[in-house]
Amino acid sequence: MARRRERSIEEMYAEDAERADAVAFGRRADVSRRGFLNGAGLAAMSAAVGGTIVHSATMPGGLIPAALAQEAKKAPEAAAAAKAPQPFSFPGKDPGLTLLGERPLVAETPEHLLDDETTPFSKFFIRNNGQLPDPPAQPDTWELTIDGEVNSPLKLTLGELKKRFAEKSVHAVLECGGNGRSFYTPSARGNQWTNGGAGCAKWTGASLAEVLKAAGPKSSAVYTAHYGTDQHLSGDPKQLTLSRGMPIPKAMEAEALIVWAMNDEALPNIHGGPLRLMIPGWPGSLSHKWLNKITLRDKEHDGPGMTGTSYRVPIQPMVPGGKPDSKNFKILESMPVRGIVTNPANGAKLAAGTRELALRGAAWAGDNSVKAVHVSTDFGSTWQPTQLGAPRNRFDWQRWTANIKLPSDGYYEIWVRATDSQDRMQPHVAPNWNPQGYGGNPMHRIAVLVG
Amino acid sequence: MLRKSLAAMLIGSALAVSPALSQQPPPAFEPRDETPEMYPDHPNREETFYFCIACHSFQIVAQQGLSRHRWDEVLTFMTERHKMPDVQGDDREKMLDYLSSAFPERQQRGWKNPFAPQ
Repeated sequence: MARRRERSIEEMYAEDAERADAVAFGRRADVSRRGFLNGAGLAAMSAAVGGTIVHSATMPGGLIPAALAQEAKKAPEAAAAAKAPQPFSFPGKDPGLTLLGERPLVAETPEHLLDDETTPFSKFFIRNNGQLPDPPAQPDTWELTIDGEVNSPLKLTLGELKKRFAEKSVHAVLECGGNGRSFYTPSARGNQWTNGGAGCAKWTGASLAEVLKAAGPKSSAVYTAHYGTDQHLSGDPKQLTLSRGMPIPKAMEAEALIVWAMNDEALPNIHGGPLRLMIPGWPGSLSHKWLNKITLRDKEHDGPGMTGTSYRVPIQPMVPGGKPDSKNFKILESMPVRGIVTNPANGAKLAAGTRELALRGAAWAGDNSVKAVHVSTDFGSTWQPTQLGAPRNRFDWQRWTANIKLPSDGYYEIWVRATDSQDRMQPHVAPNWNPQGYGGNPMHRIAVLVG
Repeated sequence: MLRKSLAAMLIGSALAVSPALSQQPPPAFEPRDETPEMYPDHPNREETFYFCIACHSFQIVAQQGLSRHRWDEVLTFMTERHKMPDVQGDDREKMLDYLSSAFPERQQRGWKNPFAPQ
């Protein structure tokens, strides 16, 4: 029996974007695929987004307006979402964080909550892979072992670590390796992060290099292996939740720390306290939480999270959705350049007559710095530079500001595009598709309405 | 079969965690209970739901939108990476039926890849 079913805007755009433009909005684009031929559909699309699309002449055909795209994305799961527990709640955390899952507990920070120069605890994203360990009664008795390819293995308590090594602080972005995963098509598997699997805190601890040197690394040591105390979700005590590692030169960088404080407070349990690694610039999974052992190895580490297509990207681009060839994958090291608008929020409504808007945002680029951030209000046809601040230290994010003109009331999209110090820009779409969605750094896009 | 392996897993995990639970203070975060009714109503929902939540919340499942063959890859990945029981035969087909109908591949917006597998 044929059943008539309501189609979502997203499905219509998926089948034939230009036809969707025509059906949903009566729109026809000109031969350049931009603009609205004879103004057809402009009124309908304007009505749908709630205001005049001011730069309609350059709006690409088949583009779902950002204001609708957010709704469209939710549509397929709407039935389930209505019944499922959605709100996020955790002591001391902003309820505005987006819950991705409770077991393991994972929540991301919407871009507009990353507006602080240093991300406070309340707004810092949460990523767990296993069970949340209970906090120890006496944190200073927490033990850390350094072993493997070393001349004198170490076992230090946190108390000893604090006494023996100089305290050091850095402002650094911690970013989930899968940040941006939700932007891939076809969808990549894993937690569907937008841009909010990232935050920039002040981290305080001991230099990892100093601690490793104290154990006397042998010349055979080429790679680290990290271990923590969080139990695997299956409850099987023999199974590791995650164990990743990195080449020794990365571990010896000045900003790599063994951390016991975040934003001048004892490192909270939810962020790996009392002790974690902070390996800035590379996927967050290297910054092992509840750290109790680092083993130096004489070969690339092969723990859970190091093999297959986990934390790896294709060497040569593969067909999106196709079968991955594991020989064509390399470990994701430096995270790609990413810029976000942190104010205003996507969906902001501005008073009628507003003709100028101050923008604020952040940008970061893994091991590199950010060279420029540009914004566009006409769907990428023209770009204007922003005022880009300097990092407080290497691996800090860079804050940027800009003033944009709003020539009349109506609907605007603001696109932001960061360029790293090696002249690599953010792409329009998530690049280099891979089944687990690593490296997704398309431009951030928000919509605002004037009047 | 599916129910049996599920029961075995549930019992296994309960044994593994209960001694710890009896001695520890309440955890900082307690995941809320989920029920199958929270998720799209398609055949084999209950079997799939209870199989997956033996270890993790169903929210991570419901976040995905994948084709049947990519759901099959997920089950293989879960077995290889997380030692999930290797479910084969009819039980696997039933789970794939549910997963691929309740959480199908999300249609891409705009531009279409001419090489995408059909």
